[in-house]
Amino acid sequence: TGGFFYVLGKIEELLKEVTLKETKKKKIDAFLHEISSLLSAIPETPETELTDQAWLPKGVQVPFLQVPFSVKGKFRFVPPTELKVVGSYLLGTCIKPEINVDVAVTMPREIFQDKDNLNQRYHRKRALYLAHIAQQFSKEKLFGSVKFAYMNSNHLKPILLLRPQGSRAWDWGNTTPEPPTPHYNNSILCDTVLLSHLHFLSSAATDFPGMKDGLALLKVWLNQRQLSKGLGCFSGFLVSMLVAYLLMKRKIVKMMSGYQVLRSTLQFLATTDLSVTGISLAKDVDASLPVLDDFHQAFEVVFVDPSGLVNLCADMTASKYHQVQFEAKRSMEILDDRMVDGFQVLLMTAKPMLRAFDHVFHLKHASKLQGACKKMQLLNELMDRGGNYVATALPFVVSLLARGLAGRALLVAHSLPQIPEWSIDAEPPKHKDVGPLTFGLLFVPEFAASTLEKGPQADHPEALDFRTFWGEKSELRRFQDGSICEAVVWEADTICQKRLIPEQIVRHLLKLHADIPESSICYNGALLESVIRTGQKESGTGEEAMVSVVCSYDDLSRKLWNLKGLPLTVTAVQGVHPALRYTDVFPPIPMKPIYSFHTRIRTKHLLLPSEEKPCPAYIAPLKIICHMEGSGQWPQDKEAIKRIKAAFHLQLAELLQQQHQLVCRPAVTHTDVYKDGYVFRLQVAYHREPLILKEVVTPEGMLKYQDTEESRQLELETLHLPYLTSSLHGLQQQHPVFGSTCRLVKRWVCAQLLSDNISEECVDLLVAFLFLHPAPFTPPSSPQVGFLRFLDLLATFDWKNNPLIVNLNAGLTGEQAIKNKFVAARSRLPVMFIATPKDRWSSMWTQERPSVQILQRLLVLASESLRTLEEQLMDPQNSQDVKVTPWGEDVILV
Amino acid sequence: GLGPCRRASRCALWFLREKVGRGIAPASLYRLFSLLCVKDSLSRLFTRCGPVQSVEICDKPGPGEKKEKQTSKFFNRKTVTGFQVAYVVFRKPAGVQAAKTLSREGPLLISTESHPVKTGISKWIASYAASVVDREELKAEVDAYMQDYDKKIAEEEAKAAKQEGVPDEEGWVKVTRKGRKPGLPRTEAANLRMLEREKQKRARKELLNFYAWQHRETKREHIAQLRKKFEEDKQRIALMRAQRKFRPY
Repeated sequence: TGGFFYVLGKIEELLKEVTLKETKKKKIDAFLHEISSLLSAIPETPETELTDQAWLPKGVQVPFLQVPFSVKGKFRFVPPTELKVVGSYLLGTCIKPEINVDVAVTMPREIFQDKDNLNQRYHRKRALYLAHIAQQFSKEKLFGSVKFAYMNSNHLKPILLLRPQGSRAWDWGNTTPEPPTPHYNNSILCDTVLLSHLHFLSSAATDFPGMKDGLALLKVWLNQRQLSKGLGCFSGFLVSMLVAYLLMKRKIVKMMSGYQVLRSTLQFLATTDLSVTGISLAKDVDASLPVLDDFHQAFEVVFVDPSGLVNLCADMTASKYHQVQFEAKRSMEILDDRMVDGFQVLLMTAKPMLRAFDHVFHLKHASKLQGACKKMQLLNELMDRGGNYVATALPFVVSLLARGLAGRALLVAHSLPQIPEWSIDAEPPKHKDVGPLTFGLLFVPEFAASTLEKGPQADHPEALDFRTFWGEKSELRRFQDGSICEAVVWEADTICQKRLIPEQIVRHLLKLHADIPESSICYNGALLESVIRTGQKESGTGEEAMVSVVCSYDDLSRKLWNLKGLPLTVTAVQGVHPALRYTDVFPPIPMKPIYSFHTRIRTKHLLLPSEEKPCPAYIAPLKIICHMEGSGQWPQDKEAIKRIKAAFHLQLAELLQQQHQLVCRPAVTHTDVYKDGYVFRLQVAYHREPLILKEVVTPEGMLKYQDTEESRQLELETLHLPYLTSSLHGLQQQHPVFGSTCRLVKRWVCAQLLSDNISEECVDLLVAFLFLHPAPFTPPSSPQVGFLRFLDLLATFDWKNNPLIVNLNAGLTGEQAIKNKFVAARSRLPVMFIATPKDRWSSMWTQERPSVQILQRLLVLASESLRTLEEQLMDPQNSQDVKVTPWGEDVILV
Repeated sequence: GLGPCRRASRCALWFLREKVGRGIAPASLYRLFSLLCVKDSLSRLFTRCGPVQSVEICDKPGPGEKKEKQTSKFFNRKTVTGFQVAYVVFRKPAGVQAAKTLSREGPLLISTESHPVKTGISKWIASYAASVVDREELKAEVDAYMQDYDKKIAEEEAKAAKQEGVPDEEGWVKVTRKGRKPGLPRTEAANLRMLEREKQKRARKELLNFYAWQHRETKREHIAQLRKKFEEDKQRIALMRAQRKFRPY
């Protein structure tokens, strides 16, 4: 991936792309100045009861859910004592796409009374104060728009969003000095320490140019993983504090570059579980301050600020932190892997949930979580969260699922509740307005589809716990080793049903423990699989059919190996048909001829279809290459070799018929063998034949080898295709959904009417790439996610400037050489270039197809299909039946 | 030209030209036909113009390159796709004249009730039946061919053995693999291998960085290499920037 400078240079370019330009900053500063003068000019208001809000003009609504409405206390507006820019803008770590300048407004002391920290009085006053400012500002021409929003979607923290005539957003918080019950308290405390946090961060950032760059990179990293927005997110502020913590602990030093800061921070995240061992920025040990254990009692994730009072990760669920940790671990592996372009994968590739997780499901109605709170007896927690039932129930729901899917799922993640901004004359959004919540499951491929959930022995005390957790699904079972245990057995007959066992678990547990009805859950696991379903009956998605083909083939190849009476031994039997690498869209189904539909011709041992009877079923022949031992007996002449091969075909047919009673039909170029309802087409190969076809004698009498069309074809058939087939067969053993993904993809290509323009082997290799080089993802464990990533790969890969290197069997070293040679010879190479360990320079499966135009068309179709499909899959209100049949210019969904 | 043939679905082009001299007998017609046309139906069709001597079918229209005789029933059979050309040779020149005026009599039908051309499922059934190879026949042909081949090889070998070590008229002796002192095989690969070996031998003899100037030279080259790499990287980045490859979202 190039030299040292190349990597640094790329990082530098990225930083240039995301950071603010100097001219912009000047404009922003001038704008801030104007705001400041406007703010001090806002008139005071007379003192009124908190509940008496008649003084507020009509054009503005209090940005706060005032439930219950009645509360004691008085309020009046006094212009702020202080206006301070806080947060990333001042530190210079503010990055695109959302340039927010946080401005903290300090409410004067006289507004506050004793006990304002109780009953949300502080929050009310804060909201009223904000409402008044909003109303005054809405009259000014200076602003393009004046809107409310929740800070990190926390409904206790409304902020004012000011956009200048243009389009950037400006954040306004407001703060007051006041002293500290966990989440509620934390939300008040946060406001009190805004300024001190700023001082803390700016002291960390002095003489440390790498911090600014490092933070920008970390924020890009978080943004690409959708971790930096919403309630309980890993915000830019949080990551800044983390870097400051690492600086304090000397894990980072001020000499470090941006890249080193990124690396050290990821290293720390990868190895530290803040949901078990929290960290604190508080320096002095003050006996009056709470200790870390106290924080762990109250919060799932603990990161205490310098004051020792505030938990910066108060809203974060343990699941979200584990996701961050998982991503950090994965990223560290990627950075250490020399085969991967870390820059591209870590910082430039987005990981939306649909493409990152194997199964994704939506909770259609967040309001159902209200019932969940009741069912799970979370009323105290609900109060603590100010009535926000979504935030209250979420951690419990996630940990419930995590326990139910333990062993099956590597990660159970959830989307972060997000509330969009609203205009100042509208009612503030309710809790249910967070929209549907999305959950993502990442599977352990070996165990995800297991039908059995084995529990403790019946007489153990844990058995009761197991029974309450699984409800009536749990039953006593006797196992082969004689033990009698509690166990849950999930019903699933076919492989595709087994893949959906997690769905059964999710639905069962949510119903049982959280009162969430099945109709509220929209589970996207196998919606696309209907297009690869085979047969008339409920016979699954053809995966079983493929296994049965391969079994029959294995048996045949054993029989060939042990065939007696051949003059030369069989050295290798290799399949070349797609079904033998599990990628045939519709694998052959065993067929028996219906005798009454045929005329029997005894002399030729032949069944001929009758014209007046229904047409017999087509049995696709499965081609197999049978390599014969090399020997001096082989003639060295191409015509003679053809005859000898024909003789072998005759003899193979005869011997198989004699020794194994198989019906065979020899021909010149092959022998068809009818076995178990399949037809195998045996083709004999002699390893020197391609070489003999290439022989040319020059006028000087020198023997030269030159590729001819015939030799190329023969090599493809007898050398390269068998190799590809066996490699992909191996891949299927490691990744059970490889075949199904391939088949989905082929269906898609066919639906675009482009199947003639791209070879099947090329599609197989593209899909193999997704499994062999999944970074920044993990290898797909469901056909759907594999398919989505295929579309993304096709649409975003830079085919013009890069070869796609598929490291089959990990047999490749020196890929840089391939890249260099590729660049040097680009114009002479196929438009889509795929290199494998055995085919580094020629990209044999894409040589003739696709053409430039077809590739271009494919890319357009892929990105359009991806967009439409993702939209559908992310929208649970939409119809469940997703079928993509893009046709012509537009994508039509049926 | 003539009207298109009705039943032959792929037959669209008809040419009519008189051919004189050159290879085939004077009275011949040449036309482009679709695959469905077969020899006997053609000769049947054209007998109405006069007695037909023969019908020849070939891939391309062209002056009488006489097709070499198909020697094998099983091997090297070409499958033809697309249009073929048929030469209809009449016994008498009058036949050609008659054929020229055929167009006025309406379309010619290849498939008639008395001689139907097989189509659809019956054609497939027939071609399936035809594809089945007679084992004995194939075996016999292969055996015969191999006997000939073995004989030919044996003869050649005997001839080569006789000439072994015998100088030709200029006094040169041909070195073969079979001789007492087998020479290198005359292949490209062997040549390349030898060149490579020579190169290695030469490299082994040279001393590396022995003289001060050699040392300086190596160093300079190394730095030049680094500089070149640096420039290349810079260019690559500039190219990527131009393509907006650094926008993360």
